[in-house]
Amino acid sequence: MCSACIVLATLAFPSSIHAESQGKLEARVKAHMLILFPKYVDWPSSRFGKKTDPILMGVLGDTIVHSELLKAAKKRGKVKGRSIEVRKLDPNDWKTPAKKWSGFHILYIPEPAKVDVAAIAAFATKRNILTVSDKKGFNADGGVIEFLIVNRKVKFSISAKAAKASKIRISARLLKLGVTR
Amino acid sequence: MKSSKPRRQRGSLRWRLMIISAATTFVAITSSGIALSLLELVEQRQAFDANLKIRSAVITASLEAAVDFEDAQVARESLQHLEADPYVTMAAVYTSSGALLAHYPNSTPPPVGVPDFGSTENKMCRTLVVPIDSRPGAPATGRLSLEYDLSPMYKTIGRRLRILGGTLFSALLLSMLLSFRLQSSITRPIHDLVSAAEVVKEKQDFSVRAPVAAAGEIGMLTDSFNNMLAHLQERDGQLQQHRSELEVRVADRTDRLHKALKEAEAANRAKTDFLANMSHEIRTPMTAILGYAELLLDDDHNESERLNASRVIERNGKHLMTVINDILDISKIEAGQMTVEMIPCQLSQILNEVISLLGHRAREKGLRLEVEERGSLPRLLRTDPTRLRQILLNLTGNAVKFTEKGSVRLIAEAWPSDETDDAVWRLRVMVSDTGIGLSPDARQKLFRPFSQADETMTRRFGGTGLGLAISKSLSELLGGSLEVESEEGVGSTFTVEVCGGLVSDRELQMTHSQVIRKKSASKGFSTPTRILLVEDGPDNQRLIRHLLVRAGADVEIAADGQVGLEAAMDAWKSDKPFDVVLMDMQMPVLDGYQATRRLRSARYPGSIIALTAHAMDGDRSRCLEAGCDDYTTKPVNRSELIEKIRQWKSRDTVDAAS
Repeated sequence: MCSACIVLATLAFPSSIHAESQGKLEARVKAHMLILFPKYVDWPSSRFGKKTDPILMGVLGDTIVHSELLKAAKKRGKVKGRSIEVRKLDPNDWKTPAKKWSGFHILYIPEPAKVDVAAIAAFATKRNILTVSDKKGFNADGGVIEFLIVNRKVKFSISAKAAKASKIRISARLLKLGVTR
Repeated sequence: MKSSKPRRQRGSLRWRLMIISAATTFVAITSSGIALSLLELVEQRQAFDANLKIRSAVITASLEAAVDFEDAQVARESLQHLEADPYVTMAAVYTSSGALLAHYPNSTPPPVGVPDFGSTENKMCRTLVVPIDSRPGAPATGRLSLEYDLSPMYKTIGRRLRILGGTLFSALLLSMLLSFRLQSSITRPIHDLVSAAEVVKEKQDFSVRAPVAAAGEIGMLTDSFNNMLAHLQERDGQLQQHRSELEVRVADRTDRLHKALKEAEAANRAKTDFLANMSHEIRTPMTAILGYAELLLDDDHNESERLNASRVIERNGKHLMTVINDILDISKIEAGQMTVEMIPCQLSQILNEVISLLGHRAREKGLRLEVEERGSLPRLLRTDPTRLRQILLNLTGNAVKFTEKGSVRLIAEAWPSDETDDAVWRLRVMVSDTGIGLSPDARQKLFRPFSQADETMTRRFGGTGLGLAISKSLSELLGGSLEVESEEGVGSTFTVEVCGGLVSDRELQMTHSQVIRKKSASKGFSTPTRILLVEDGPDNQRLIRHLLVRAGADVEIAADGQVGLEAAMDAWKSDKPFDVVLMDMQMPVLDGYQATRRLRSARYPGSIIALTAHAMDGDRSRCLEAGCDDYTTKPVNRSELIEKIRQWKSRDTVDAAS
């Protein structure tokens, strides 16, 4: 059941941005997707104080994705009545994540960060945090969403098992966008 | 007539009922059909719209994530589900930037360009463009264009309408069929009624009845019709009966009328005959009188011839008098003016008078004339002696006239009519002869006026034919009757019966003296008598003066009332009054009534006796009213006149003496 639930989501690169550098385009697509995820995800209600409390998204390290995310969040506006706040996190804090990261709802771990992914995933699972990463085998390490590049297109796979463990409910519509690996 | 028949057929109840039922069915079904169709259309559209809304909502929801993540593959897969919906002909999904993400069916691409939101309808196509994941205040993630084909819906509606039409047609057909079957229950009784009415009209047969089949209004109609027929039948019967009754009555009336006519004719004939007889009766003595009078005027006749002529004249004059008296009597009787008086009279004297008057004629014919008084007759009875004498003279005269040989007997008897009261008596006189007798037919007609036993008899025996009619009427007036028994060839017996009052002793005394006085009547006056005769006619003056002078009276004549009045007054005043004034009533200058009245108003005390040719009863009372003491009629009966004068003269003497 667990392995069967791992799915791949794809996102075609818009042709209009073909001329831009591969890296920046990839970052923009990923930022777009990251901003879209909260729409299809429900956290336990204990994770929010008020109804209007923002969704906190933490990005490890200073990457292009971070700046793209800021733009995308601004453009997106509110999701389910909540705004999305994007914050930059120090990858070096990974050893004591409990203190600084436990208030976040989404943690994005880009490829360059040198962190114990499994440890962060385990921590996030306890704290009901949705984890997203570019790192290969992230799902296997206990991460919920793993970005993939398939046929030059950004896709993602979702670990239903990890999501369940984190008590995060992911919409079937999002799950459907993935293809079994 | 020919053209009216089909028109009547067309307007017949049968057709009307059919048309009515068809029309109502048509209207009901058509209107309900149209209403149902409209409702169907509206409901279908509403259902379609609702369906469309749900479907588009489902599709957009399923497409939301695919559009978010611009996953054409997933979008296409989602659209592929539309295959289950036969109405969807085209679908296209566009991203927020307006790029076509996926379309359905795969084979046919949608028209170029991004469609606007909203719903557009074109022919049988409805295009709906809805946003995907639209949030207020934010641009839509994408848009979905859906093209629906409406024709199946309209086809469904059309099919339903066809079914409706079919139902309508068959319902019409069925209703007409049904009404055709059912209407006969209405029209048949009416047809029966009509045919019954036709039969009544053609045959005039009111015994026909329409069969009573239906209940309700038509049954009531039939009942009323039958009742009407029953009434008509009854009326017809009554009419028939009435008509036959009327016929009988008319026949009866006609018969009676015929009879009456015959009687009237007979009466008329009798009157005509009577007049002819009268004429004959009057002319015969008249001829004799005039002839012998002429004879008398000639000088070359000896005394015996003259005497003979005078006798003939006297006889014929008397006969003429009888004839005229008879005519007067019968006209009085017919007019109901005949009256009788009731005065004491001596029965045996009347009988003797009859015998003495007719004895001469009987002797001439060689007949025995006898009187027989049966039982004891009262000497005096109160009745009308003149009329009784007239009856007996008539009966006895007839008996003498119609008897050739043998005898004529008068048998008289009297008895009290009531045993307890002897004041009223009945007197019966039977006059029987041995004459020719009467046939029963003749007996029937005998007492009718203007008829005689035989018309030929008048010529054979003479007479007016009034005598018996007068006698019968008189005897009835006297409270009795006149009957006849007769056998042809053997003889006849006429029986007269009258009522008479018994005279009391005092009256008896008075009458007795009168009778005695009467008995002493002789042919002349025993004492000198002065008489004033007031008379305008010279013949009468001469005749009456002659009579009175021969009787020994001293007569003075006045030519009219005025002269008479003066003469009477002068004589009275000069103390040499007349014993009696004889006053003619019809005179010039001053008539007898006036003269008498003036004399009486001048307190003239002497006796005045009226002389008048008017023989009617009213005249007597008129004369007495004017102041006359007595009354006598013209032509003058000599002995009667002398008797009256003597009577009134002696009264004057008695008055003067007392």
